[in-house]
Amino acid sequence: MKKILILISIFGLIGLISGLGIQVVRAVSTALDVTMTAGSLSISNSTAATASYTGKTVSITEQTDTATIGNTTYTDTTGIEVTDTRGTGAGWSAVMTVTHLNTKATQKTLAGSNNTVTFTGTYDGLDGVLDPNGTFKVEITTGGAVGTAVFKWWDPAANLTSTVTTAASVVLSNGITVNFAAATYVVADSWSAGVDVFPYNYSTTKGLTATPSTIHNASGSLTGVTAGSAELMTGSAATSNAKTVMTAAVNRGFGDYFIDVGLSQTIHPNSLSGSYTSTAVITVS
Amino acid sequence: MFESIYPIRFFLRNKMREKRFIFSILIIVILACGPSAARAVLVITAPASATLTGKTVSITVQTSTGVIGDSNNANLIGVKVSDDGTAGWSAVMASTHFTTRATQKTLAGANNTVTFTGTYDGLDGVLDPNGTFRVKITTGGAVGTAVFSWWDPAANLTSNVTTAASVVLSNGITVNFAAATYAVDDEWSAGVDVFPYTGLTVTPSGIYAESGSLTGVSAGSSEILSGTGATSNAKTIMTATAGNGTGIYWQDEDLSLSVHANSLSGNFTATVTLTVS
Repeated sequence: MKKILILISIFGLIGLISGLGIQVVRAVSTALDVTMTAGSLSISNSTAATASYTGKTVSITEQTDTATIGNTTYTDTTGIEVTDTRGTGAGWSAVMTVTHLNTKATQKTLAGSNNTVTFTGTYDGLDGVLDPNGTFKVEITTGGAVGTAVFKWWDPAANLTSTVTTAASVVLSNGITVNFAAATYVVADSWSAGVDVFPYNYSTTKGLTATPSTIHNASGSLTGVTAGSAELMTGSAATSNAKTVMTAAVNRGFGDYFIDVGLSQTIHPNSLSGSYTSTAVITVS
Repeated sequence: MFESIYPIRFFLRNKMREKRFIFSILIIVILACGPSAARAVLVITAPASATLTGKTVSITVQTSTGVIGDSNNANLIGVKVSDDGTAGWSAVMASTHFTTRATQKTLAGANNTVTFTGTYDGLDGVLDPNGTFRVKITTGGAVGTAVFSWWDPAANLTSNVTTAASVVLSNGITVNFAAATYAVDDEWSAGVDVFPYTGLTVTPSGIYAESGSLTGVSAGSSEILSGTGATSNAKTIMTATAGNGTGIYWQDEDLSLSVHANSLSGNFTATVTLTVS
């Protein structure tokens, strides 16, 4: 009978609770979600599209010229910018290559009266590093109008190419083209254009030294994001080997990073005067 | 024993069978309680899911929005509270953080046989860099013999853990070792990321009364969810004062989530629990 009393009490309590209007808590769930789409990995030099060396006066001794891709304030948003919004944590590496700094002097008329020949293009060779500076030379061997006249030419290493018919433009070598304007050319007419180069690989110890600055994180963490070391550019071609500027390890480098690259270039003695140009290509992957 | 319980003594004295006696008592209770219990039905329902607007990972903070229900605040869509009683009620909601877990990366070694599973419920990864679980073999061998160390997203190290098919790490994440011969220094990671509820603003809409009066029934205020646990504190979305709220009421919950910069890409999920009492 005790059990009976307990049962009665339980049911009575239920009745009492219901009668008083005490209610049971009720709950439901809603699943929420938001999808983050992967952005991209990009590099920009919009704030450092060009960089100028300080400039030197031609000298009989070797000199060093300096420049910065970006500026010398390493905590601003100037310089090379790498942005990673992929959201994958794949990590990345930014590298740069560079061509030689080179120049091409204006044409000199060595013989004859036709001042109608010009040289165009960007020299990409190495001749001219050592004295004397390299020279492209053109000489008429058969007279006549353009298309009839024939010429021979020498590259800066004094290699001779003969019996080339004149044309409005004739490609010589190493990026240089000779252009014959309309005229009557005479045998032995001769022109030249000097070229000079400050190579990135002047020697094993001289040339172009690239020094990545510290990194500025406009967005994101610097953990696992490191600058490359100061290094002399290496290579044997017109364009250098790739040199690491900045890297992000796996699971790092989410965000927006800026770096400046200091440049120090060996300037050989007795160079041509004028403006020397080269192109640095910076890529990220 | 039954002297003070006259009805019982009455039945007993009339030699009523014990089973019949119990049955009679139950009938009495049900008859007494039935009508009042029927008056106290309080129910809440809600859409099973809600998707916030997607975003592209960015280097700046963004805001993603969504709604539990829809933007029409006068229809039969959204959170529904129905009450047959007059005691009044309060509907509240709580949310977990929005979290994601990236797929496993093999950092070293040739074994691509380790996976991470589970739903991350921690907060590491809110700030850059995003959090990472990392596992590294310290003693080689088969599963059950090989031993590993692991780091949680806060870089806390746990050493000398024996491999197994599944080993619970922390904050809801488990590492799983498939059958393979593991070598010392084999290493894997899985990134985790979170958009915490402390960046989630909930704005209850106006209430639509499918039946009943709106008198005494009011919407909660627009608030950022608060709390320090894996689930937020409860936030009031709709209440009915005593004597009011008898009927069926609908409400939509507008959501605005702060999405931190430089997040992982992928799908972030959270669970909202809506309760009425």
